[in-house]
Amino acid sequence: MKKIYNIAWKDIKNRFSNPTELMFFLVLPIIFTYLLSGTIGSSGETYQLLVVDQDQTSLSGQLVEGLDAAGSLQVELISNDDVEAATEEDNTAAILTIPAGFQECLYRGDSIDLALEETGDEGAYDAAEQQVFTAVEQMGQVILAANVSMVEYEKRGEFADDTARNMYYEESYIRAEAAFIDLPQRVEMRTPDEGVIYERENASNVQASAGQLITWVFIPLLATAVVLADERTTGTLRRLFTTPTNKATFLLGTILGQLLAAWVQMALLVIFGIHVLGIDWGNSIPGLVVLLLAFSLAATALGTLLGTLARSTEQAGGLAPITGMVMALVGGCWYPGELFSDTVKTVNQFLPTTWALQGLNDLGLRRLGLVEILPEAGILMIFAAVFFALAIWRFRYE
Amino acid sequence: MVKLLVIGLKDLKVAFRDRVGWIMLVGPFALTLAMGFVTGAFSVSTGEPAIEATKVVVVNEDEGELGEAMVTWLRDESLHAVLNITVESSAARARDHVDEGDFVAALILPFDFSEAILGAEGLEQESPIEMYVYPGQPIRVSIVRSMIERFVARVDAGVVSSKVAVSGLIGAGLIQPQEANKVGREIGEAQVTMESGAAAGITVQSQRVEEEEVDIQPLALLAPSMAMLFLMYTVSGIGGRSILAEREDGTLPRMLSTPTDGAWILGGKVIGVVLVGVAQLAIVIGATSLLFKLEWGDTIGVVVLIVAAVFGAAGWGILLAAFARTTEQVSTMGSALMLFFGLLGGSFFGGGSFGGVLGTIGKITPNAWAQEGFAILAGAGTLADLQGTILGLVVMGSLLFSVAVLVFRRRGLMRC
Repeated sequence: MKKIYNIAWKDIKNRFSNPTELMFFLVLPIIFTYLLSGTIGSSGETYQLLVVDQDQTSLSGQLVEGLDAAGSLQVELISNDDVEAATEEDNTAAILTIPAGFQECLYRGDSIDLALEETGDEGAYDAAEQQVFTAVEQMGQVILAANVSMVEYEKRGEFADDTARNMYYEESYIRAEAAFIDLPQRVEMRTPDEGVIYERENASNVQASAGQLITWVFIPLLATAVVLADERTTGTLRRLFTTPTNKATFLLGTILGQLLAAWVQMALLVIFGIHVLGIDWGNSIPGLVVLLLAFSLAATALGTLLGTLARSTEQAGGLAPITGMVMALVGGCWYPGELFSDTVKTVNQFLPTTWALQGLNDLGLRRLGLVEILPEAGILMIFAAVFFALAIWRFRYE
Repeated sequence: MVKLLVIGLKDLKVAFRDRVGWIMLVGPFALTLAMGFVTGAFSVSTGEPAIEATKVVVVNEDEGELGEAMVTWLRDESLHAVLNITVESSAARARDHVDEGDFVAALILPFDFSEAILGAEGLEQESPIEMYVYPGQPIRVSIVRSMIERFVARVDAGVVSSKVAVSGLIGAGLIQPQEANKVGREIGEAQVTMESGAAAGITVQSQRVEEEEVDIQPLALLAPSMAMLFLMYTVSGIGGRSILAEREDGTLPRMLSTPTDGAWILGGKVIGVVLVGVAQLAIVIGATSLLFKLEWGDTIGVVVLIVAAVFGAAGWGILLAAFARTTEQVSTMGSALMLFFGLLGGSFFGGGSFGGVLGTIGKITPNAWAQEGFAILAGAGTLADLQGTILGLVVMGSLLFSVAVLVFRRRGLMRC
């Protein structure tokens, strides 16, 4: 047992003797998780939606108010004279012009066009366009209701004059607006766990964090291959076997060294997710521990197998990150796996990354417990057993 | 000059003989293939839908006509590409299907759904549709939700319209209160069939900046991203390392003992890094053109952009070598830089990038500039359209080389 511990400790010391290793162990995983989890949101956006209100009526004013509430872009009113200068501003996403006669047209029940002009950044314009569409759609529903009210009135009677007509329109508009505000909830979202309200943002954050955790633990564990190849090619393995140390002791020591580092890394990333990103990993700590243990064993086993396949340290050093990146990508750790085609979903059933991610999603999103994630943990253990068996079969001293 | 080229060509040969050299060629291919595979880029090329329709199970317990209308709308042919609807009679079974992961969502329409919206109590009565979801698929869930809300919004608009009209007519004495239900229903039905003659009114005319519509292959964005990701690995991890390796292996002092100035040797090493980078990008671009029939765009533009991209990236590699103390350090830092720039420059998102401040910070990476350039070329742009991109990369490379030279001099790395 002491020998196993000594080999493990030697590998850990070797690995962290270079302080830059901390970049891969903690710094980059934290940066990637933070940036990709969506926590930063759109805090960096400072674009403006400029509005030229040529109509200056109560309806055009209501549209401007609606625009303000419909999205994240800041809405600012400008005059006709300021349009040219505003177009030159870097933070202008788009300019919306509400033409003169806007209210009059709508009162008559006629259609009217609003001009939305792109001024620069395409992405910012897309956001501005979405904001305008939302506001116009909401106002359009109210206008439609007011128009219906006018049509129905005129089918049955006549207005005394234009003032009476406009007044009736305004009253209808106000009643319609109030009715839309007071609409009850029509869709109720439910998840298997009754206590949890479904929030898309939280679901995306859990998925992104889980994906990054798997990626950044998986690739270093595959680098077990480098440790094995290095011991073999530099001859230290042969030297070790001149002592009373057998193959199993060496392998167990090497694997334990990698696993201990991975467990610490996973614990730190989970804690970071909980306390900094507000990630909820579910209700089952035993489930989380079992799943991550099974995943780390499968990854180390694959790394060990790669170590027996690589002919040199350099080859192992190249093989580990590429294999890790491709498996993480196809396993759904970088892109939402829900959008993968059925073919990809069939192929990725043969990857440990897929099962690890599914297990973490089951814990964090579906709020399942230890018993329910045992199938995923079991499959990961099967991966571990198969990879270890192949690695031991392939193992060579030189 | 000959000495510069000799040193540079020697490094090119060494890089491709090196066993690590294959990573810089296999890496971009493997990841481009994997990205094309998972993002459906290959399906887009073949005209097949990249994303399969979302599976939804519907239970219609509604006793009125609205539930039936909703099911009919959800099963309409126009929505087949988006939604794959299965009708189930039991709510419990539908929820089980979702629990088992067979469906993304179960829509359970309550027995009084029609009554809640169309009945006398109308708009105030709550009887929501239950949307029981599989939370592991947030994007698909939001698609289904927005579709349902679209339908409900349309129905609500009709109901609000009839209620507002009826209350106005009663107020004006044009109908009697006892006629309200009958007239309201007539107006509501006219709304659904669009026979009321009342238009919605406002149309937004989008005036986008005029751009020629070009059909860009998704792989034409993914492949440059991966090529740039691994270019950073090459110029820093391999190129930068070779400079320090010369010193560690003792070949640098040997070179300096010949009548060759230290600056020339450094220049030669820089040329070596650039040549390796150019060769890598050229091979990746050439091979993807042949294997995937990928069109990279205007040839002259591609050649100039390759050189500029490598120059900008090589600047980072040389700077890293100037600050690093050992070859191991430069290798590790090179890999870290590759990943960090890949994230910040958008290589991991197929050339897309963060918005706002992060997008601006991303401009320190050659990845962001070069990917932007390759996207311009893929969109039928020419060399003339690349002026800003090329200038950005050249300025980046020049600045970084200047700083690197200063650091090399200060540390005396180019002296015997």
